[in-house]
Amino acid sequence: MSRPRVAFFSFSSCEGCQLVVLTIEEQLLELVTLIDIVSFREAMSEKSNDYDIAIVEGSITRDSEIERIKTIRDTAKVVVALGACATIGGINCLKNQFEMKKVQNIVYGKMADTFDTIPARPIESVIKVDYWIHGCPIDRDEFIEVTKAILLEKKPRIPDYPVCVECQMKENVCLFEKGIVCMGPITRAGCKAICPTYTDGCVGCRGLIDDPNLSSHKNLLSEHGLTVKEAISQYMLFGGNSKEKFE
Amino acid sequence: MKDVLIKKKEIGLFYKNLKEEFTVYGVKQKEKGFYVFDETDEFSDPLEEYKPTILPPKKFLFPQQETLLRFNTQPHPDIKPVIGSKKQVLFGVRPCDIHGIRLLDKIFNADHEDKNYTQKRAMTIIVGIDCLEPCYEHAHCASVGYLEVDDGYDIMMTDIGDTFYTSWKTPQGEEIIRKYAKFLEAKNEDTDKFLRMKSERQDRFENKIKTNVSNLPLFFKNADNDPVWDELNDRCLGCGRCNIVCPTCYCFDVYDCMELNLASGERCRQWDACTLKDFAVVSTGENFRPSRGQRLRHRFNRKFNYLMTKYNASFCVGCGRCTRSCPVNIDLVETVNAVIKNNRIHEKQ
Repeated sequence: MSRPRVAFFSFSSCEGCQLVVLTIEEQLLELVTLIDIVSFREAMSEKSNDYDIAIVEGSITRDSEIERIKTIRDTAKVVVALGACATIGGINCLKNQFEMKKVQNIVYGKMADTFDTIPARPIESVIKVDYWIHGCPIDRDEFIEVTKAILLEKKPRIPDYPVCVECQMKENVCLFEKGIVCMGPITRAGCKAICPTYTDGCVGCRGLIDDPNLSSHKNLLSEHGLTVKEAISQYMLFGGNSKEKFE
Repeated sequence: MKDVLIKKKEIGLFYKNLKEEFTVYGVKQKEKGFYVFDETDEFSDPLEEYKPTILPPKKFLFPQQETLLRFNTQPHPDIKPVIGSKKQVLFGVRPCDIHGIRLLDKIFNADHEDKNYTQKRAMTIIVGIDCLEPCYEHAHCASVGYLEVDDGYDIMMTDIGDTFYTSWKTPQGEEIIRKYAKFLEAKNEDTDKFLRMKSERQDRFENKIKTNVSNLPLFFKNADNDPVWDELNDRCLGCGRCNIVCPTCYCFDVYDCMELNLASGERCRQWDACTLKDFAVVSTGENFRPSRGQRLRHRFNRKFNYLMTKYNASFCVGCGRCTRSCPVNIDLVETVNAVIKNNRIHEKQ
């Protein structure tokens, strides 16, 4: 692929993952010699509807977004899901635990009827996705890794092992040893175990590994004093779209 | 071999002097009760409070991530090996970890010499500290025959009170003692005290594995269908921590990391772990060990059967790190004993 045209799109999200892309300062200039960025509202005013690669941040939470993401899929040769909202639905899926009517009223009050809303979902539930860049926010090195993989038409090296691997390689003291609850054993690595490294329990923003042992992990959480309800709410923070797996 | 005494208060000086010539890695406390090998300004080994470090010192010989070669595809293909090594001292390595390194020496020299390991190893001096008491409840070094160590180190020090009874094993060991340590010649009475303390330690190290370690390959050969693997399948998280902390696990994954110019890059390796789901996946997508129980069984076989049969040595050194680090308390000794017990029940039937 010779210097493909790349467009960034925002759906329901904080746009923080796109901000992470802008922090890759030392490599951005080299990056733009390889790709032609044609739309990126956080960084430039120009826009274009002619693009090869669509990098999509955010989850789908409205009917109008379904139409919009389908148009993007029809236009782009390659679609990349950027960040937890796009890859797994992210924290937006928390609202799926409630009646949509109730959610509308809480968020929009009197204006509730003006804004439609549907249960939040990752973009993959609406369109075919070619590449995933996980995390809340994404890891900048992984953004570069996936970009290179697209350009070289190779499979990117994205871990399907849990955060524990990275955490242990860094010689961190396991948070469970300190009585801190952690989603690390069931969560996909690739974040360099950044939260546990700073003594914050993993919250699972990169989604589950393919084959998590949820029942054993649930027991582990209950040994650390969590009730079943509390354990499930831990999983639901980022895993709202995989609710059926947790119950 | 001649034995010397180094006073405890002089050990810091020895440590510091070594830094003139070597990068010196010693044991330091990371958090209360948790230790790591690291480059430290001062000698900070906790001695009596010592527990095995989170990662074994193999990380200085076979690092978590390592570049193997650099390549360029433009203007024409060019490949250069990268072998990083420096003069280093690993200070305060306990017998279990010396055995771990001794076993890795065998592995990385067998069949095909792994120069990234062997060249680092050749530049490494190992100063051991012997154990007179079990360091913690998970230690089972004596059960696998690895409390005693008579090679794989340059210097061995034993705490006999106010002094370290110190022996060198290699000419390099002797050289650095003569050059950097303040020492006294050991007298007969010191040697007697040292030998007495060493013989007295035997009773303190319990034999936790319920058979002679040399019987284990046979027990494991018969344990393919042992119910213990089903039980562990339900418990094991497949998190890989037992592999990562193991002094004798040496599996790694090799991958290319291209630079952004898409023309040059590095070939790297990173520790891999046989308890992880993708470990035995082949290119067509089949997984030879799809369940966690199968993968754990494989790991135990690597320690007590496959490699043990090939090299006639246990590949578990008894440090207990896997047991300590397992989030769901899978205990290596208990597992081995369950295999032994189930074997015996099976035999009787």
